[in-house]
Amino acid sequence: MSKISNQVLKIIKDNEIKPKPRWYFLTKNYLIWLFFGISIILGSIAFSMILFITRQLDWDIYRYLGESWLKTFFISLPYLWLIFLLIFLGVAYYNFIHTRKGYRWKIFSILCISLITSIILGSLFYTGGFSENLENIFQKKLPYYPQLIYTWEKQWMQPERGLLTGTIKEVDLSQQNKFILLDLNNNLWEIEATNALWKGKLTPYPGLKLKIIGKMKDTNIFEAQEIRPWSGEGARRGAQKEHP
Amino acid sequence: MDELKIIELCLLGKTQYFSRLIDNYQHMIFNLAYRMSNNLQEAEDIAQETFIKAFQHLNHFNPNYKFSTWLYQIALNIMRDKFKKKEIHPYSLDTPKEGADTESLPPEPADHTHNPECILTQKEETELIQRAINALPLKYKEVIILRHIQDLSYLEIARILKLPESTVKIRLFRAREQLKQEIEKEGRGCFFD
Repeated sequence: MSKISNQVLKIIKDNEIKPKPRWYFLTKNYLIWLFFGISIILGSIAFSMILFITRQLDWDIYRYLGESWLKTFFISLPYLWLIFLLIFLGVAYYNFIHTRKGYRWKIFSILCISLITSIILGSLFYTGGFSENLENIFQKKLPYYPQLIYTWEKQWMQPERGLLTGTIKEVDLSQQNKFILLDLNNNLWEIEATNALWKGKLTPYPGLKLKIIGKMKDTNIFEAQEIRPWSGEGARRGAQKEHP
Repeated sequence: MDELKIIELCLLGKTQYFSRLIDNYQHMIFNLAYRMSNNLQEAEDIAQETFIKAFQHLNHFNPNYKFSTWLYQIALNIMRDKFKKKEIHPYSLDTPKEGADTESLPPEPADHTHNPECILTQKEETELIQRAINALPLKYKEVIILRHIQDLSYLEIARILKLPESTVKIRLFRAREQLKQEIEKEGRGCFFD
């Protein structure tokens, strides 16, 4: 046993082992905090995207589609961003427990604090329009991103399932209840609105943007049951898309 | 000489002073390593590696904590790595006894209640308990050894394992339960009565 100290000193001498400098450990510590901060910020961005994407959807249309609320809910969740949020929470947790006093905290407390911070910061990002700008950039520049996100456009551009959206191009003055609609994919539709319920006291005129619930009767003929104005986040984005 | 003074001298390049720290703690670290690995040569290698690593990381030592706590952390990290790389082989109650290694073990655990009717011989008990400890998963083995063999407080164990004190208590409770099961397998459950 007494030989341990001799052996250790010999190894230290032979291999010229020296204590690592203080700055090495300080830098390591700062980097851990930096990565923790970055993970929280990225988690906040993910949360702001979840907020933006879910708020631009219409959550009441499951009734018209004859689906359960739960099914609509699970179809509409922005899974990509939820996965990112979970990943960044995990990374934040990992970094936090590697700080000097991080081990004293319980996993539940660390995750709760990280999540609450992400929610608060994410809400601020959302309010400031950051998530909207980011979503626009991702939609335009990131390949495959649009396929991964269930957007407001995807929700309303399902004519075969009774959902259609676009801008009125022409109103038939002889038949007040008929108009031509240009959808988001630049297809023209003849809309029959004789029995439609107009929500929001709308008067049809060219340029008016609408969301229509109804039934596809034939190719490019759609019978409206309920007509809604564009409003909220989705409408704003739709308008931007049309007039960039 | 004060430990902090020794560390300062080592950091100033006077490496020979490090032997004083080694002399103070080598038994503690060797004992832990032996209990964990159940192998004398392995225990010596681990102790050696622990002190070399400690020397390299002297600047990272936080004087607010005990030097022993820090050494325990380093030693346990080395052992975890070795277990992960399977350089130390997990032990099972089915493993044949190694007389030479187990005969020299001191009597433990420290706090079990002796029931005279159940005690066979001190030697048999020691062997059985050591074998049962060795059969535990690593995280349970660590807390059992730190608490009952190294005789450390919950706070010290919490600091060494970097876990909240409450987690240490829960882990220790589960470890004891599993240890009890391992011993019951051999028909010696009465150690815990």
